[in-house]
Amino acid sequence: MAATTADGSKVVGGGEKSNVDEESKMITLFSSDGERFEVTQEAAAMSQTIHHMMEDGCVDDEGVHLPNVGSSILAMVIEYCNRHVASPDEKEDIRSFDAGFVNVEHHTLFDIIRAANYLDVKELMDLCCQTVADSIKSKSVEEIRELFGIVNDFTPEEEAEIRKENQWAFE
Amino acid sequence: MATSDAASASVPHPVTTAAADPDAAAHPPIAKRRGSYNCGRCGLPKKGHVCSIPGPPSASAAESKPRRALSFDEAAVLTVAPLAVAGPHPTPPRPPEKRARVEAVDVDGPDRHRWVAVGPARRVPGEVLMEVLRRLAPRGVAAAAAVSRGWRDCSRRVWRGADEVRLRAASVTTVGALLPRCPALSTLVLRMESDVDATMLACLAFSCPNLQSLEITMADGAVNRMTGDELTRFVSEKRSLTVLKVDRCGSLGFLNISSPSLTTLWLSDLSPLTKSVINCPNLSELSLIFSQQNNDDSTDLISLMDSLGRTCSNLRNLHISSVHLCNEAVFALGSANPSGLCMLSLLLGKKITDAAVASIVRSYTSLELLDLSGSGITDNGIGMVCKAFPDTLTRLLLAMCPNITSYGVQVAATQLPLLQLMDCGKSLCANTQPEKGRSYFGDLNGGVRFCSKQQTARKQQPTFQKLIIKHANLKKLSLWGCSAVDALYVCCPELNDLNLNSCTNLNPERLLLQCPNLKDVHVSGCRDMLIGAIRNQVLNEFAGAEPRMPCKRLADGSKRVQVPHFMIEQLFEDDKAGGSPRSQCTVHLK
Repeated sequence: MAATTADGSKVVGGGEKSNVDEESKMITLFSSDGERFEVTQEAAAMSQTIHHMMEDGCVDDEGVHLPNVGSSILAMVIEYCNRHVASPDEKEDIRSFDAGFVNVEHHTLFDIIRAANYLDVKELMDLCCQTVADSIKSKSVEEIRELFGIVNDFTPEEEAEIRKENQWAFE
Repeated sequence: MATSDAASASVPHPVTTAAADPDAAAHPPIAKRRGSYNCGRCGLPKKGHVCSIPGPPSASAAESKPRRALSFDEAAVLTVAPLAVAGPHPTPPRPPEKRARVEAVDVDGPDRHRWVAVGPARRVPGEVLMEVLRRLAPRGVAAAAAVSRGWRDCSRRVWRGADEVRLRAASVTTVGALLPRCPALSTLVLRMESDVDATMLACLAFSCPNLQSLEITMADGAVNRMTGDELTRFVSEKRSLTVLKVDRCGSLGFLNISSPSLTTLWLSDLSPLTKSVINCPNLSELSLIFSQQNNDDSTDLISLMDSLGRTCSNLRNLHISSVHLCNEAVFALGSANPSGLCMLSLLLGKKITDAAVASIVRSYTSLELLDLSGSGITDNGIGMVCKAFPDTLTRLLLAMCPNITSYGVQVAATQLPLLQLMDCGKSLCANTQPEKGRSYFGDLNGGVRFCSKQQTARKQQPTFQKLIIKHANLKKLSLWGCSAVDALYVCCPELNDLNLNSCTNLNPERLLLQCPNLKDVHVSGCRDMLIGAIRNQVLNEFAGAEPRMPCKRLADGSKRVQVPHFMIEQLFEDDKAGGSPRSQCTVHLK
């Protein structure tokens, strides 16, 4: 969405502002595939990695390059951060947002976890890791393999060994 | 100055024992509330009440053990509680519920960047999978280990880094199989489903060099055979142990605990002890719950208390539950220690009287919690307490104290401005006879008449008492089983929890509740008419806009009845009661 300012020029919603506006200082993030994302500094600071970079003055006007995060995942992470800084006190709303947020395929969840790990966004890590853990708990070994599509690469001896090692858990 | 009056702080041992008994619950220092507060049997808040509702048939004839309220946990937590994995070093100390963080640094260098398959076309760094696995319960991690090689390696790393494990173990061998894989373990919470003896301690001593906190609870039917000897040796060898909580200590025989590091010690279900020595200068919290089954009073509580006072000068929370508690034991405690005692619970001591209260009041200056449930103190004792601790006392528990009356309760409510919890469960009882012999007659006009077959009333307890409680800070009030109360007016703007279980003689027409923040009301065992009256008052079932009239409609809507005279005065004195919707209040029928 765009708005027209007093002098007739266009300002793209959420885009760069030429004047430094204390309330919504923006920072540019680049995904691994070159996509450009504008976020408020406040939202970006949810990532401890970026936060430390900002504090140490390593962020120049160009922005921050994130070679480890693809655009689709970065978009989701940004959506999460934006939502959480917007109204941190509305617990109910945030909870339902989170529930919808993690309602994605496992491989996407793992991608988000990797990104959150790299960017060091603790709340997002907790949320996604807990979601995956919840889907694993109380499942049998076979069920876990099936859930994720993992191949059993044990030799028969290794399989026996691991079963023996963890026999205590199945008594 | 050290006088025999013990101007110095006595060793306070308010021990809030966590568990097992729904009965008496000591209170935690400041509400670190976790788990269920309510007694599973009677619905009374566990805090400092002695539950006399018989437990399930398998329970012993005696009351269940007093509950330790400091702690929080229910057994159910143990089956699914996740591991906590710490970084290599140093880890900040954590309370058991929290999970430690995995540091990015990995103990095994070459493993650091190993990737693990988590799907047909997906690989993640091992540390990422570890973050997921460490949130699983122990058995979940074990299952994950068998999925694939990569998962196995991650699981092993999770075990190696685990600093807290909560486990429900079928036997000691289970524990023995798991513990050696967790060398970093510092907190261990075990629920044992079969017998336990010295081999368990040996296994713990061997496998967990850094163990700081150990808690062992026993499932029903499992026997704890640890002896006093074995426990003594274990404690003195484990130099890092700070917290020790053991359940069902029936086989100990004696206590000789000597440890410079121990700060918290909870032992429950103790049998009579031939000797008890506790020499732990850093001990801050002590809970000793003696089994009520034994009539053997050979445990010398007096010298136990005396030695506590002499050796444990840092004691802040003391909880002792024993039917053999007596005034002399309280004197012994009070005469020897610094006044840092903060929470004091002495439960089930029928022989404790106002003389003990006098000693308590002389010895300690800033009690926050006082629990004398099951004792013989009178209203005079309450008066002494109120004069001594008005600036600090926030919790007062006097359940099952047959000699207190509503006068004493009202004095406490008036003179203890900081009070947040008051428990008078089963104290204001109409008489000592069991209630089965009574009959209740519904009055044609909707009132309730009580027809007593007993002619004799208790000497000290008038048959019916009215209770008026107005308090600005009170959050929880328990009048469970107070069958002597027939009229009740509670005006407490901060009250969250009101327990009226088994208030069988409370007259629905003589009940007024003005507690806008009331969240829970317990009415199990009350008659329907009373429940109806309570619901009307707390659930705002009449339109909110309706002004309060000094008369009430009966629960069946048939007619309006005048509110008794004394109520009217109160009504017009006070402001309107709670204009805001009270629909969040829950009325508990069980």
